[in-house]
Amino acid sequence: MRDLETIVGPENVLTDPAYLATYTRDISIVQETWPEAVVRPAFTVEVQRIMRWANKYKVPVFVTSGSCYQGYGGVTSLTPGCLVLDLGRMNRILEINDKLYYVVIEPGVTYRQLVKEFDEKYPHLILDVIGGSPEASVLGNAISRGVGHTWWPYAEHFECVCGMEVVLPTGEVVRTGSGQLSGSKSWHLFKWGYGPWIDGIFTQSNFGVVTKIGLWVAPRPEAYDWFVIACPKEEQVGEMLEFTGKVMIRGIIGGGATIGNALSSLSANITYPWEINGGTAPLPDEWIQEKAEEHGVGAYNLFGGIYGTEEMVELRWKQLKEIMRDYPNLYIMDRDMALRHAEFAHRVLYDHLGYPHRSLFGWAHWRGGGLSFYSPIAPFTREDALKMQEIGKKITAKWGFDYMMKYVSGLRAIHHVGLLTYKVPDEVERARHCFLDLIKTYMDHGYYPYRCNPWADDYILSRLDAGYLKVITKIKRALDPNNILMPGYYCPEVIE
Amino acid sequence: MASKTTKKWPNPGRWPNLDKIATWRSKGDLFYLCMTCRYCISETYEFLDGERENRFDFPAKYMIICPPFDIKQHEAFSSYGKVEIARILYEGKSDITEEMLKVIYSCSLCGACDEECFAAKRTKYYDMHNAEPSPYLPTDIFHALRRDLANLGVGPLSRQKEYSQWILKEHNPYYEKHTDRLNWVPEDKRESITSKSEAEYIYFVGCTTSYRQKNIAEATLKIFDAAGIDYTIMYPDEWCCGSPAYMVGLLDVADEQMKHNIEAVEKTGAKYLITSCAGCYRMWKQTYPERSKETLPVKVVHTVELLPEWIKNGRLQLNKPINLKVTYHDPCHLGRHLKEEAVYDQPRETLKSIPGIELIEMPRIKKYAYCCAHGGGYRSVFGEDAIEIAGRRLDEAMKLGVDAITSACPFCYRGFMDAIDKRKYNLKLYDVVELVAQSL
Repeated sequence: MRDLETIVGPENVLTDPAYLATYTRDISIVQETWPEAVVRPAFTVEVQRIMRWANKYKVPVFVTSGSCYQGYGGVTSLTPGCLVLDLGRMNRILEINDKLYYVVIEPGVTYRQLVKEFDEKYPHLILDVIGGSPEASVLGNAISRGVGHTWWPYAEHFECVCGMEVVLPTGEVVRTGSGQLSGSKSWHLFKWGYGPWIDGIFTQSNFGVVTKIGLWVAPRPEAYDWFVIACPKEEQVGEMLEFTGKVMIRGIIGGGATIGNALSSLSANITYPWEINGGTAPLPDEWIQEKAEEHGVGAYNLFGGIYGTEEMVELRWKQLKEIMRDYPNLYIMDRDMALRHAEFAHRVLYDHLGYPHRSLFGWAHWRGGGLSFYSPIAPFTREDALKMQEIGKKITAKWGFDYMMKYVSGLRAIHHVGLLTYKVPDEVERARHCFLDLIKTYMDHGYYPYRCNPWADDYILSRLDAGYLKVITKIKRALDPNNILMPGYYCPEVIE
Repeated sequence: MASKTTKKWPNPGRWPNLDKIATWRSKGDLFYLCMTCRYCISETYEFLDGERENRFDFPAKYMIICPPFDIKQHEAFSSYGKVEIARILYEGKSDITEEMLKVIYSCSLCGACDEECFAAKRTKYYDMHNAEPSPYLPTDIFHALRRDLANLGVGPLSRQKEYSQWILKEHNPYYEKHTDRLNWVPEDKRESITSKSEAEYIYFVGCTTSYRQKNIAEATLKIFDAAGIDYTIMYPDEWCCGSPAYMVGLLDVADEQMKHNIEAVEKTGAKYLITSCAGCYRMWKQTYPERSKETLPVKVVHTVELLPEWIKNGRLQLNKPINLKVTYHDPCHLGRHLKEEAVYDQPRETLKSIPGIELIEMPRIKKYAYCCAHGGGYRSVFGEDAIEIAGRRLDEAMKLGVDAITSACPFCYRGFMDAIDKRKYNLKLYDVVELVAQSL
């Protein structure tokens, strides 16, 4: 520990339980793991030294970018007694280029921080934001391949990452993309560089510590309009998804649009009706429908944004309505009515314009303090939408939970973000079984999760193609011979 | 932050005050209401709250609301971190450490997190037959933890214990003699002020105003004299209100002061008790009735509550113009702590009544005001941090281009005074009563 103190200063090596407590559990609450210590570097060179130190003593290291994650785990390490490398102090916005529209940021930069900077000094820029906490790391979400809510490609955050700085597990630094060339003028402008492109291996992986990224941001559009399109019955989800795919692929609406089922939208307006059904889930379909009608919510609701110039927006509205003719069960919700609904208003007035906010925690608190996202990817087809709904409803009901979900952001397929919420501690064990059952059943039908809480990694990895696993374990062995960086995280354990 | 655990105390396994909160519905669940959303740390856009509804341009967006987090930049110091500390102690997962105590008491209990906590406000608790939101807010957990630590003899921090002992001995936390409490009053007035046996109003001066911010007391008396009210000061019967001890969990100390003060007031037969300190006001208004389980014999008012009426009915003639652009800082103990009884409008109304004064609001006001960090026992231990936090509040005022900052609390006054000095700001500082007194 004395070595670590020399590297980062004694005040940035934390061993007291008062500090460690904030690294012991995440929102899923399925596990509580205590690290041995937390180290908080401020510079890349300190990260390098820490990794060399960890190699010397073969200490497992778990990385977090300021410890704010929701739904997919993040702050809780898989390995008890590990060293947590908290990059929260590396929170510098290194560059904002408002001519070529990119930023260069460190891992500790939060959505709040960057949006505030834009708001105050660069109002002509827009940052695609997530529906989660504004205190989350922008870099962390991008390299976890998280998505946002504006338009393509900005809504797919990793799509907009251009040039990384990565500290390898053994302490060397690699600059990806055009950063290969010392003095490169296009590091954050041209992704591919020369030769094999390696950025992807540092996302959802344990191959390196990403200490810097270039991120493309968008010019704030001249014109914006929004809509909420709903369908009255849940069996119409197929039409809804197919329609959404059509208008997204054609670029008529922003690719960061969201579709929520009735229950997920209702949860922003009302709290859990414990008096119904003896407090047990799932809630009866009749009750959901009754409440949906009362609150003017469809069985599924698409919140979309249309961006461009005034003329483009007008034209896209025409195109949208044209395509809608093929979907008579879908209707455009009255705007005043939509704005009276907390979630709809937040989506269309805030999310779509790059302002993080707080409406969405209604669903996180729906049944209790535990939350896990199960997020299989759904192709934009009727059949797949119906199948995914069937699986979700069946499995959640089997384990005594509600089927709450959002479809979020996509271009050919969309993230089916299932929101499993449960009472803590009573329902945690049941939720864990339900979660694994959901993942398994969706995978059985060909729907892979795009991202997952690390505690379920083992199961998902056990289903993956042997050839793929062979490649990633080879890479892992080559880059991290002592297997010290986040062992088991998105990659099988390589030390037998 | 210190890296190493030094002194330790074994976890007693029993946390009666925390337990009372944690078992409100079913054991331990309350700690899991926290969804780690971090809304207790920063402002975001808000739709659910009527006051900010549709305010796209809410000027305070994305500012840090938690003073200790703002300074330390580690989540342990945030409301979320402190809930986690309460949880691990309650669940017996850690001993009590010296460093942990520093984190627990690194909080002025300002209640900004209570206003923002999504879980506390929006979650119905898990009782299928009687679902309702939890009545407990984050600061209730922190105060319960402080009470338990005090009962164990582990908390509060040594400086806080010391001043609490001084409160028992000399009835003030400033290491001053009780016999000096009235030194701020000119000698020729002392007798007449303290000897009235049947005055309608009691002026409860408070320790900070008596010993440190005498300017506030002097201005208050000037106003009382101009208004022609029949008042007295309970000397030597005015003791510390107990707030400094209460806030750090030493309820025995606070209770002793409270019992004495209530008895002393009963003896006078006065109808009103006026205080010019937000801390005293909160104790008299909220804590005394709660703790004593009695209806107080007097109506408790803060000076700023009386001023608008006295100005309106001509009792006070504000003739002299004061040409200043001022802003007003809401003390937490006069605002958030009092919930629906918060005193927000009267000081503003008073300021607007003074000829020449232009009131310009800071981005964060009323229940969203950023705390100056001089309450809750924080300043006594973490002086430098407290002054820096007060300075950050001043930064907001400076951006408005005002000439002066005003408030209605001697604790806030002290914080701003030191921060102005440290930051070398060209900014004047007044209590609201000082401006009123000047305008008479």
